[in-house]
Amino acid sequence: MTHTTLLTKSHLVSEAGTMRAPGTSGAVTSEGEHTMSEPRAEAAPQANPFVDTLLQKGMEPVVAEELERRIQIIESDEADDAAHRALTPVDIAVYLLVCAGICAVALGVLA
Amino acid sequence: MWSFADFTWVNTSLAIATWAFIVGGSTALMVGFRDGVLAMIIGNAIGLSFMVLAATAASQRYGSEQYTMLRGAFGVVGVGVLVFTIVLITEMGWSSLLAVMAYRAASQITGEVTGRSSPNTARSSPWERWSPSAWPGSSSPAAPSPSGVSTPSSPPVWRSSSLKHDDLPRHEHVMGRAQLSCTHRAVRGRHAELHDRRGVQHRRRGLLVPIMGSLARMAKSRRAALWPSFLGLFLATVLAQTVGLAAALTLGESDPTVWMVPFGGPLLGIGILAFIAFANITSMSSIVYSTVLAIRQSSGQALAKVPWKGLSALFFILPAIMTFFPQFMYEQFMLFVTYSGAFLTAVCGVALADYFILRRQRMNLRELHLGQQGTLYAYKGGVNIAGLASVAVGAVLYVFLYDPVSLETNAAFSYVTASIPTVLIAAISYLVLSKVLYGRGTSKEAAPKVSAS
Repeated sequence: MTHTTLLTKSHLVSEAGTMRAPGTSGAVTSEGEHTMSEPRAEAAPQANPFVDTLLQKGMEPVVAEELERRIQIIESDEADDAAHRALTPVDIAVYLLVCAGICAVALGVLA
Repeated sequence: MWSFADFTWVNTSLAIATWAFIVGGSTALMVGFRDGVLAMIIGNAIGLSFMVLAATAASQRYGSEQYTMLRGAFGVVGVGVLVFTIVLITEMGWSSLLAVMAYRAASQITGEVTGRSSPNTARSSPWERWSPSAWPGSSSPAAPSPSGVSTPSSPPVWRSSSLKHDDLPRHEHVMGRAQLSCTHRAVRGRHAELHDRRGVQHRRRGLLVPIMGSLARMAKSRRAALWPSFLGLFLATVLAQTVGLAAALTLGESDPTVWMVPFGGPLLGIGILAFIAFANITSMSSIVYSTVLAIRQSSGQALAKVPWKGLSALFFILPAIMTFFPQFMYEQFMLFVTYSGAFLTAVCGVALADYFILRRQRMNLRELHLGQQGTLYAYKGGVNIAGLASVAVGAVLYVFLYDPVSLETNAAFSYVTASIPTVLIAAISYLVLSKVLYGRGTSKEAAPKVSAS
């Protein structure tokens, strides 16, 4: 999707701003909202059930489109990114073992 | 985006505010230094283990704040119920208390620099109810209950006199501490002491649970979200609490704004106090950021037009007023926080069951944002009854095992704690109710990470 509308901070103070700006192009403002580092162009609106539904909910078009854009990036660019994969059973097991180990050591000293 | 080191510092700044010292000092009411440190290590490790996992994993993976990610577990309206009751009041109250603490540190610095006695050293805060100095001259501040666990035998004595620098060290309080400790140890088993101490920790969990997911979404990787959250909070908290405990035992006062300057000297003391004052402010920053996000997400379109700065300002109105009533805050608000901790523990159980078991770490971002207009996370009335009912069940169990106000405990508490069974029962209850009410046993999100619209 290409864009023709310039995005400003105020455009993103709603729902889209609650998502991490995918990739490295996003920046966090002092208000905790995400803006894009480069002004972007926006194409003519295309039929998109997701965006249409958000618009029917009363969301501003620019916010709905930004939300859709970010989701698409997460869906495509970050889909195979190891940093955003689910925690593996090994990850969870190591984490829980470390927590349990800390407790066990402390209990051992206590006893 | 935050790296491992960045996020560790964020969590450290969140953890090391004044309250950590004071909570550490409250440990001195129950145990000595060695047991107190060990109890703090165990209590923090247990509490943080499930809180961090519940709050950070989904948000980091999908880059969305936790209140959106919780729509599956509670429904859009259900999340709003949590946000506008437990979360909003809790975080407003904490903001007010942190502001008072920052003021006290700043006022102490000002007093040192100008050579004037700092008015804020007057012990006007009910924190002393939980600190050793709340019991001046009392060698038996707590009486054993039939269950073998002590409860405050009388309302805390309010110390109205100002604490001067030359009051330190106050040997009478140190002696009082020794008597106090002996009394406690005579009537209580070591494990009861340990678990009581752990119970104090859950008030802090009430502060952290609503914050962590909104911060973790900005971590670069899953490991950069998980480990800094746990280690940053754990190490910084244990360190600050240990200092508070040691200070309470040796100086009779856990609040660093009182003893830091006379103990550390003008230069070092003022420097550390300045650090603590700013640490309170950074904690407030994390709170207001996360809570305003939650408010915006949970209010539908009602507050969508309100600018971020305006919403942040609105958030601070009530906390600002409440800073003029610190006694009310410390007494009544802490009572609320104490019980809200039981609910938030159960929320963690439901969140863990929902994300890791029911949905197998797969969420549908479009459906999450569609909410009631979608299909996957739409519930009758916007409320996932399974989620809210399970939170209630877990909270009731928590209070049954351990009443955080009276300190009355069930016999099982000494062996299983209150937090662990609460998380487990809330999780099991959620899974069973989801199956019964919605016929959901497995994830409907299926393979696609984010479905096509």
